[in-house]
Amino acid sequence: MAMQFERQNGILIVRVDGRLDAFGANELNVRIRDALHDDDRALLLDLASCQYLSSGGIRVFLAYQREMQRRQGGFALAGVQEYPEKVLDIAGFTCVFGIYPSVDAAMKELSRFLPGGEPGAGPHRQDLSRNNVTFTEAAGLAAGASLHIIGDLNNVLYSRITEHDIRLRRFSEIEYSLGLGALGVSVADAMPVLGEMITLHGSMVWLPTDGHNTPDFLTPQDPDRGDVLVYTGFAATLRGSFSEYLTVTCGDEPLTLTGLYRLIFTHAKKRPGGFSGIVAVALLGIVDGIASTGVKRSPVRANAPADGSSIMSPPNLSEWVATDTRYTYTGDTLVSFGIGIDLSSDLSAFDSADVSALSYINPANRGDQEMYLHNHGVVFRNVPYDDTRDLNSQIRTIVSEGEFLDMRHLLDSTRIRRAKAGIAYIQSIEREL
Amino acid sequence: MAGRFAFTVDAAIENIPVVADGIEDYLVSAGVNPAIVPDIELAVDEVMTNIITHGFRRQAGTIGITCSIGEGVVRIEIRDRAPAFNPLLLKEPDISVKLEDRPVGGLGIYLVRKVMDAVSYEYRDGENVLTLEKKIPE
Repeated sequence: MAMQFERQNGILIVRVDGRLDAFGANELNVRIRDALHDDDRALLLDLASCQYLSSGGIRVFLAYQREMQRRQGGFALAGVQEYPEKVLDIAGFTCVFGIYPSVDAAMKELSRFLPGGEPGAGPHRQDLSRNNVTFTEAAGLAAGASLHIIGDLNNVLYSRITEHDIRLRRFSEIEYSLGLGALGVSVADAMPVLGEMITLHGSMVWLPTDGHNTPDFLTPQDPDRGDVLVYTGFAATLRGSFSEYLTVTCGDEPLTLTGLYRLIFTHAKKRPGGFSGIVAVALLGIVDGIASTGVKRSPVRANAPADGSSIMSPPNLSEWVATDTRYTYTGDTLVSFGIGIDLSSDLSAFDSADVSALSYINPANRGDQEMYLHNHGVVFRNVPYDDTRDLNSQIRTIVSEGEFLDMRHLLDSTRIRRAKAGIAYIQSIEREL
Repeated sequence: MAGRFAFTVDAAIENIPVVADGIEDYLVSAGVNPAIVPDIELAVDEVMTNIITHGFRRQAGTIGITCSIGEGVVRIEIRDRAPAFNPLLLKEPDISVKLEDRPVGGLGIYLVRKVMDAVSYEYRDGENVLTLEKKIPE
């Protein structure tokens, strides 16, 4: 049996060529599971070249019909041949599945589950070839937001963290933070394995610099681990709430993080009351491709480059930083938290030492760089995408129920296909010295 | 028109298409009306699936299949040494109930009964033996 997968107008079409016996059904099940993206809402099986079906195939149809219902989407069969139709009929399943004479007819039916609704629905239909961007004010009075900083990013950059810089933090109460941290029984235990970390609604994920390149995911609900206490040498935590939400559905071209923040900065500058130049962004999106970077060694004083150079300087880079520019995790769900500094804004509302603790751009030497971004992201799978729901509660659900795949420091070239982002306009930076 | 076709395969899902091909070749070369071939393949597919998943619980085992033609009937005997189990005692699924409430178990044997003219089970010499019969249309 052969299978062909294709996406047309947002519908995943699977062409089955051959016999759907128990063996073929197993294969079909696995292949669909691999091909299905978290934002897929319409699945169509083209059975025009399938001459045989048994109960194994019916079970797979039923499983995916249920899965698409869970996603508030649709499932359809097209081109069902004489014998498979007979089997569906005997088994009593002809009225259970949406069965259409042709792929076109099935696509027409399935299109009502897609953004933009039915074809020809009129002038309100979205142009699916272009990015569709909406900013929505958060409900209620936005109280304003600040960033709370532990440590200084320059100590990471020059591998200067000492035991004196380490703070112990209870992460179960923190909604959004990113930084560098480790679990351990003591500071001395944590120091050698400090790695990239992120907190999302009390769950904490970190990438120990122990050489295994495998993230550790902790939820405070985990009774075996107790409450999560983390040693951190650098952390930026959002205090306050989102002022606005951005919903974006990409057209033909996916959006990079740079592109996403550019949308935010452009919009922010037009806001009444002005824009101080720094945002914190929590994002829930569908990945087009993740490109990542991350420290491989713990940036503590004992490991510092002998000549006092930065771990990012060319001779040190490969030893210190793992960078992966191959795009991965297409179709999976990304939950990220990050900070964006618009370098074309004047930033004078902030103390330059505070901005420098948060970024590794010397404000006096901005060059032609447009922005500075620092985003950490967690990848989940098998999470139906729904940008109409409340962002915070959705992230909370995903963190506790989603299938965890990975955590990375995201390169700005990371691409997303659609996203809902909460934007906090930062008004002040508080440092814990 | 007579003769037999007998073989033994490992109890593995990937052998189902192999057996189906073997039976189809035998029936076609014996000149049997091709209209009944898919029904026979369906019945063998469902019985083998049951033996592999429920009988052997996906552990190692073998399945013996004998196919013969005589007296206007195709007769298939399927044997295994999994623990004794008569699939014909399975409750028939109620296909009139709503999709959400319908169990998928038992569907296979239900299909076997529907497409075969006779199905019988016996436990003989330590073997489950299921015999399927399909009349050859005139």
